[in-house]
Amino acid sequence: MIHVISERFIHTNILAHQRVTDKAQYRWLILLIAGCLAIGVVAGFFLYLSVRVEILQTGYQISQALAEKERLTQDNNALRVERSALMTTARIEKIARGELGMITPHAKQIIILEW
Amino acid sequence: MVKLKIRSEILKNIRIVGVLFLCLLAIAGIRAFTLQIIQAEWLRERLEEQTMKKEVLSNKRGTLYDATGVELAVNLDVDSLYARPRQILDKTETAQQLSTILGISRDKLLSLLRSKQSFVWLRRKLTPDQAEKVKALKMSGLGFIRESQRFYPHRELAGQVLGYVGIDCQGLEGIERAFDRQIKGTSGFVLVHRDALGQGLFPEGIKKVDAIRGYDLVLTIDKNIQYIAEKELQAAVTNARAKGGLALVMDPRTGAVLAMAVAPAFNPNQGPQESGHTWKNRAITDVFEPGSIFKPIVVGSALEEGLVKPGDLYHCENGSYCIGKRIIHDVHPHGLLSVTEVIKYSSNIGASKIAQHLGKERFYQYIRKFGFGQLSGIELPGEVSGSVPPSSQWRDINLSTISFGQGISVTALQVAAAYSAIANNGVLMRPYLVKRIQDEQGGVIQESVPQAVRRVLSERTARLLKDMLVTVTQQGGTGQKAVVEGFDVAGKTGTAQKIAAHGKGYSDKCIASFVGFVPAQDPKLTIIVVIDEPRGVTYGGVVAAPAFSKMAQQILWYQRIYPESLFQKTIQDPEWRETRGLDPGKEKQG
Repeated sequence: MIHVISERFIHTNILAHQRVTDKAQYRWLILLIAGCLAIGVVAGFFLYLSVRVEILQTGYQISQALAEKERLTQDNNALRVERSALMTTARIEKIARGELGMITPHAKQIIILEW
Repeated sequence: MVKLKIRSEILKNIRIVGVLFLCLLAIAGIRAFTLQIIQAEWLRERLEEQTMKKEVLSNKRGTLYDATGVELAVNLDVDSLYARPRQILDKTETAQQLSTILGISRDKLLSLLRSKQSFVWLRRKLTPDQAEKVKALKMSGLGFIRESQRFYPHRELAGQVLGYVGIDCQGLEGIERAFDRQIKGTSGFVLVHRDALGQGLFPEGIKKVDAIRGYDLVLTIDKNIQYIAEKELQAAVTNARAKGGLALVMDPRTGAVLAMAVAPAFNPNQGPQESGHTWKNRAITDVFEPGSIFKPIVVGSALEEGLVKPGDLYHCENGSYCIGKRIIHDVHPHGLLSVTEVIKYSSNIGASKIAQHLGKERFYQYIRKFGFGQLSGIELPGEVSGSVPPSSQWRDINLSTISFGQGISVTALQVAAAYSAIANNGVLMRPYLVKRIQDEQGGVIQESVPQAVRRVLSERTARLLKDMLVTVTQQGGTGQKAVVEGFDVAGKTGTAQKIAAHGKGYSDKCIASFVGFVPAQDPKLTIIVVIDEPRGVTYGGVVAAPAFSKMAQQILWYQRIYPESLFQKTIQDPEWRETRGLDPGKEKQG
């Protein structure tokens, strides 16, 4: 009975050893693939993250640039209005007459030149 | 036995736990149902509120330009101040501080801040200075929204023509109202994600509806001509200590209105509340009895019908003429006057006799042909047609009084258009104010072209009438003060009594006017000047004619239309060259 058991043990142990040897051959391969996959996933994740951050940064920059453009457009509009207000005929006449001492010439003071 | 008891206990506990789990599951199910079905819409809105930002892209109202391309009305973005009352802790202090900056009473602000609404406007469209001061306070619960504001950089210039806009930039009067649909544009929005700080991400957004800018308008008004008209009109009104006045400058060849001035002036930047009724464009909304400026209408009609010739004589009854029970007077008594002299000396009796010669029906038809009693078709809102009673209602006295401009009512624009028809060889043109509608890049959307309404007089009649009107501004005529040095001026003076306030008879108040065109033989300008209730001397020839002369002189020079006399000296003239020392070589030779 003991003999039978030990023999069976020996046989199963041999078989088990054989299986272990087979598994050991694949383990490195599996680990390698898993490792590569893990590295790939992590690298992909970081790549995605960096791209995402880059997009966000660019989005912010575009937003700021557009806001700046809007502000400059507003400034430009305000300056145009100011220029228009300074170009009023009433103001120009006031400066011409008051500050520069100009007068409207009489018809006799004007000669039309025909070239 | 014991085993059975233990087993029963375990089963009982399992049932309790099962029921407990079922209850938890039911609660979770109910909650899920509530969140997913009942509150779904509200939660979606909350989420969008927290993570999305809807930025309104405000509509930009189109710009109004004058004929030379100068901006008369533009848009500026300014801050409007709002409050979220629930977020303001010390409402009294906030109201106190804002009161001094905004110029609103503390109590009014306090009642706004105590409002139960989550959002209240405190002041729309602040000045840049006010906005800076409020921002410097850094108070919680206050915020700003950018809004578009209409701004008129030339202030009063053409104020009544341009009109004004409301708080939401909708056109309420003048050109702003008449062309509101074309110039207002449409607002848009962009839906953007926002981060924890509330900053917008990805400016293109997930949904965008572009704001559409309104079209620009190019007017026929020339800002320099408008300025000259307003300046001289105001001077005439001041000199005459009058209630107000009107002046209108038109190109008789096209009907384009070059200036439309109303005194007192109106500043559209201030809006109507602060300006009384000065915003009304009285050149088209107010009617008056034209007086003697109407005489050329009856004379022109009679000439056209071949009933009279310029040299035909009429006896003017030495200044007093009886029609039925009524007596018509002339200012100065006259005996025999030719038709030309009836115009020159402005005889009421002469005009009355010509009208009798013409007859009621024919006179009425010509009045209508000249455009009286009907809208001129100008693009402005609020134009009135005046009043010309049908000839069937005229009695003999009406025929006479209408011949010298009493008993009908007209607008200044109608008179200017009628005189322009005489200047334009008998063709009545439709007055217009908008030259072009264009987009932001200047692409033409719509362009106005001069439009002839009808021929009123033949060329020959118009020419005869022009010659007669020239005599008015010559020696002895009533409009000598309208003369423009170097040019022939054709025109007519008018002094009409105003109807009494109670509607019966006439008051002692007058309307003095002068209307004419220059240069008489090749008219470039038609100008009408109307002075309302002048004091002292009230004659049109004294009150309005000088203003006409000053306007015409300056405008002609501005348009580079010079008198022939100025062209005598030329660069080739040896005498002139010698006085200027332009030929030094010749001097040496000499």
